[in-house]
Amino acid sequence: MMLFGVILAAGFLGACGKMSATDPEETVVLTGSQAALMNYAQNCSACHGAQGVNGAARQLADANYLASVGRQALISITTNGVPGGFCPGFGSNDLVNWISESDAKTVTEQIDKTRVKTVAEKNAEQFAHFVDGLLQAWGKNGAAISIPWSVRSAPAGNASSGQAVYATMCQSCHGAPGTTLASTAGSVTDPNYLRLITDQGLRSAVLFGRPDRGMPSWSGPFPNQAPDRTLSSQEISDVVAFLRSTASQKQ
Amino acid sequence: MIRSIQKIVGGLLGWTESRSGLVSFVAPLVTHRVPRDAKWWYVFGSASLMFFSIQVVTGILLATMYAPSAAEAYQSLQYIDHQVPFGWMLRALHAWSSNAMILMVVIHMSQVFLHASFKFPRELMWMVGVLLLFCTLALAFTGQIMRWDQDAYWGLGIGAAIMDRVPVIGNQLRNVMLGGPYIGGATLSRFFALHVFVLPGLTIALIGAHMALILKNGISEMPKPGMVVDPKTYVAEYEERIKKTGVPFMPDAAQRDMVFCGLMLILVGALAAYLGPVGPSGVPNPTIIDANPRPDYAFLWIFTALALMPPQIETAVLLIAPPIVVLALLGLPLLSNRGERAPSRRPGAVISYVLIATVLGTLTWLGVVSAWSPVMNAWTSLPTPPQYLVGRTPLEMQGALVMQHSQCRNCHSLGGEGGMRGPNLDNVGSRKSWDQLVRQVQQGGGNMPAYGKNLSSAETTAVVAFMTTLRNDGAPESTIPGAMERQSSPDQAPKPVLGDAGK
Ligand code: HEC
Ligand code: HEC
Ligand code: HEC
Repeated sequence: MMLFGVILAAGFLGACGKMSATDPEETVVLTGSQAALMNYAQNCSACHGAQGVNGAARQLADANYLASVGRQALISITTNGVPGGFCPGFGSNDLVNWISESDAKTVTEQIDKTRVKTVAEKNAEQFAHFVDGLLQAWGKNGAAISIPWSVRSAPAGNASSGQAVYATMCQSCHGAPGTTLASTAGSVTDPNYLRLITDQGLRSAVLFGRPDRGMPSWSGPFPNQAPDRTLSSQEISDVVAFLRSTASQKQ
Repeated sequence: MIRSIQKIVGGLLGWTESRSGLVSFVAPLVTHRVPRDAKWWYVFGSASLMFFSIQVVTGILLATMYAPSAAEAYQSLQYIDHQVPFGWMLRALHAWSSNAMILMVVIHMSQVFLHASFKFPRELMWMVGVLLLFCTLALAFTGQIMRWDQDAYWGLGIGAAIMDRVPVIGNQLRNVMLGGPYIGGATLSRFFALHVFVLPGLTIALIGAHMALILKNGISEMPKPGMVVDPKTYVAEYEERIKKTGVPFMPDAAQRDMVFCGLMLILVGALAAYLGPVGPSGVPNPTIIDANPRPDYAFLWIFTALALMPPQIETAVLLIAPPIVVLALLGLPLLSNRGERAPSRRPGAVISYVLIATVLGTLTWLGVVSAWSPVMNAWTSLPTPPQYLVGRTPLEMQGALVMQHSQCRNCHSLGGEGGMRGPNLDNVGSRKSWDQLVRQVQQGGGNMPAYGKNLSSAETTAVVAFMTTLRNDGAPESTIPGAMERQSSPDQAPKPVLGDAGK
């Protein structure tokens, strides 16, 4: 009996020290943008690059890009990933390790026995804080561009007009469609490549370019074109439709 | 008044006793005589039993809250940890007491082996004990599956791979183990049934047999050099000595058992309170080949041995070693059931014990510290070195993403960062041809999982295209040799939705 008491006491002492598996005292409390950058380093940098640039996946440290995508879409991508693409969603994982002051409040609430949050609720809040922090760190003074980012709000594309756009605007760097011959920037009509990237990925690439890699954005400048030649929303949809069509012809 | 109560109670007890024989059953347990010199050496068996009882109690409590379905298991553990008052302590106790039980069983077995207590007439006790060891390990293995996290996948993955290698019926064996060709919901139900019904039932039955044999044969005395076991005379001599110098189990020997068990209980309770529950680690995601090589401690040595073994002999060792070990353990008392018991007169036994203990200990230790163990968060936290991305084609860039996404870097390093279980890939493009790279990725081999079905042909092409650019000089290849012609691989299905996997 005494033994049992000792065990209980030991357990209780442990419990006071711990409360739950997440110990608020052990977590470092940071500002929102610091926490977001550390979470970025932990969960996104592998693909999107160490400082948000020069990764294999697109540059995220780009204020106008972030503003154009918007907070809501960023939260949704962080949670669910890009369906059909390599961007993983973190919604079901408890991967967020560093919490900011606002998160610390969330955790305190969690301990409050009257209202316990589910993992999903907790994650939703933490992902919102993460995106807000990211916007603070990289999105200062960003302005959304006039052309819609999302494929869902973009005009429907026409592959044959897209072929013309490709020939004038893209071919000098990416080579003629269907060739694997050396071109400065590599083929974007390789069917294997096209099977791996989503339409959204293609649209984002053409719309915002890859500033970290020398791929021009919609506003150019494009080789052998007038410096003020830009791409319209329609042209972008068309060229994306054209790229898709090259892959389906192959199969 | 008091009298009549005494009478009624006495009558009731008498009635119960005459119908059940409870006292006459328990009395020998309490009063049987044990050798006087049976000191602290003999407490480990009792401690094993105590930890098993804790497992039963905490296990029943956990079973009331645990949801043994693939979709809910993970959530229900989160629920127990965070929402049930002291739920985390319950899980922690169950986990740490299981480790303690394995430890006690191993120490108990070592003591019996070193003191040669398995000799005549206790051969059967040893054999039942060996079966109990296997039950304990099986409980630990199936228990780690209950966490249904990445570690569980790893444990199952190794188990399934071993089954697969059995000639002819390998596939069927794997299907029986997993409840289908892949690790899935049926697997968890299967292991749950084993963990909470079959194995505990078996263990309790075997413990019963073990105890009955103790009562029948008595516990052995401390070995003395020169005191030889001879089956013809041993029983009579033993009984003679016990009658003269033995002491009743209660309270003499039981006292020591209780003190030791109490201390162990406090220790494990404190450990559980301080370290908390074990796992669950990340959510298992069936589309990602999991590379976490951290099975629970008791199985770490198996993993290390597999990792260090040259691939050519792996299959042979995997199939031949286990039956040999089982037979050797079971057959030991039959091979040597007479003669000297003292360790000082049995140098061979002592040396082989030390050897086995050293090998197992070293393998376990290597499993804990080894540099070649995977870096589990490499796929999300280690950027592809920027210099490996300069001037790459879009397809090669996608290849770099496949490499991150498929967690290749848990085992392989790039630019000095990543796991060291496989060779670093910085220069792999100049070591291997396109075809060799495709084969390695699709078929695996040498401790690398086969990615075959888990990567589409486009993904395989992309990652191989990326790897061919990884060369000593750092200069990118100007063209991808034959990239366009090389999509003849059978899989032309649309790319699976990877971003959505596991939700
Ligand atoms: C000035 C040369 C240039 C022009 C013109 C150009 N690109 Fe690019 N493009 C690049 C470079 C450089 C990259 C980066 C290649 C790499 O690193 O994989 C790239 C990358 C891409 C990608 C892959 C992005 C990714 O992350 O996977 C796509 C898609 C693409 N370009 C489409 C186009 C289209 C469509 C056009 C015409 C509207 C076009 N490009 C015009 C240079 C150019
Ligand atoms: C395994 C590599 C990987 C990781 C890790 C990763 N991403 Fe991505 N991400 C990608 C790829 C590849 C795409 C492009 C998908 C496509 O369109 O095909 C992408 C797309 C995106 C996009 C949309 C790009 C666009 O405009 O189409 C956003 C936003 C984004 N990721 C944010 C994140 C954030 C935030 C994290 C960390 C929480 C993260 N990603 C982690 C690979 C990754
Ligand atoms: C579980 C750990 C593990 C994972 C995950 C893993 N590998 Fe391996 N890989 C190995 C080991 C171990 C070897 C050495 C095989 C041998 O000894 O033959 C190896 C060998 C290789 C080789 C041959 C290297 C050489 O120089 O001989 C290539 C190429 C390779 N892996 C690519 C990959 C790719 C691509 C991925 C991801 C799709 C991957 N590996 C994932 C463990 C792993």
